[in-house]
Amino acid sequence: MMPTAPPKRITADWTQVPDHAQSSEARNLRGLLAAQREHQRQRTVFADLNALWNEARTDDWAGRPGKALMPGAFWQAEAFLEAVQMLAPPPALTVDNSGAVELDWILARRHRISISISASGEIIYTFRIGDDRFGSGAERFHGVLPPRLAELIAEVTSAPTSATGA
Amino acid sequence: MPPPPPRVLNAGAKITRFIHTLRDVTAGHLKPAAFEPGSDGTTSIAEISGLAEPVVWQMARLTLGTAPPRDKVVGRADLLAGDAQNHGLRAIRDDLGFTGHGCLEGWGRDPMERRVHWKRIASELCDAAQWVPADPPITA
Repeated sequence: MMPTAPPKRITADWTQVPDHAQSSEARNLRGLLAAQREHQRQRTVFADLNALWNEARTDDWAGRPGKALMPGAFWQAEAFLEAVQMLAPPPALTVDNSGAVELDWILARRHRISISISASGEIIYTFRIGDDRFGSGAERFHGVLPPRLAELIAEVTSAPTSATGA
Repeated sequence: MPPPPPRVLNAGAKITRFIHTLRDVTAGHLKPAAFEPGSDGTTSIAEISGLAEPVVWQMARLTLGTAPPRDKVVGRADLLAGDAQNHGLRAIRDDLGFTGHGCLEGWGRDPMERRVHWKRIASELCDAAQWVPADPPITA
């Protein structure tokens, strides 16, 4: 006997239904679902930071000569991620050779911002947005995003990347 | 026979940096941490000019250690020596450890400025580099 195909599961993505075709309750529900999805996505980055702590607890942990992730850098990075989570999607995480946590938003070649945060709260950043806009600098983190960094992160993560190539 | 003396590679020389963890890569792009120098102020590379792909991956095996993550190569970052020269670095071939080994030097040692300086140059190298994944990862 031929095996029967499993029944096709019918799903609907109500976030794709245009606003004018929904009741206000449906719109509210759609907003709640979107917020929940974003919340879940952001929680993932904190789990990733914990995973990084387990991976990077010894010197040369990445197969390159470098210091282990410093506990202070872990806590600074966690506070930074808390501060940035409403502004941008979660970054990719690693540890640089100084033992600082490096947070990277790299959307395409020449469309990126990389931020390292050390145990003392010193922030080193570098960015490039297309061929003409680039820079680097240092800031201090005191639990609040420095305005300059907030602007750059928002710009990098929201600007179109098609012109920069991948 | 001792290895030949170190020499500066020409701008057109093809070099690579072997990568041991996917933490140094995101969405097919290298992260600055992958290129930043160690405490000796240099970044290890290998010259791969004119080498066929299987030979390059064979060279990757020579960088393997015994403990994770050094026990595998997950990919490599290819670029030209000239890409490093554009940012004030020198690509040196020294053949230390294995034929083709070298390093990027000239990162600067000013303790006040070097972290910003290093991060900026490393970021530029990321944009110049081509990520070549090892599929499957190279192991002993």
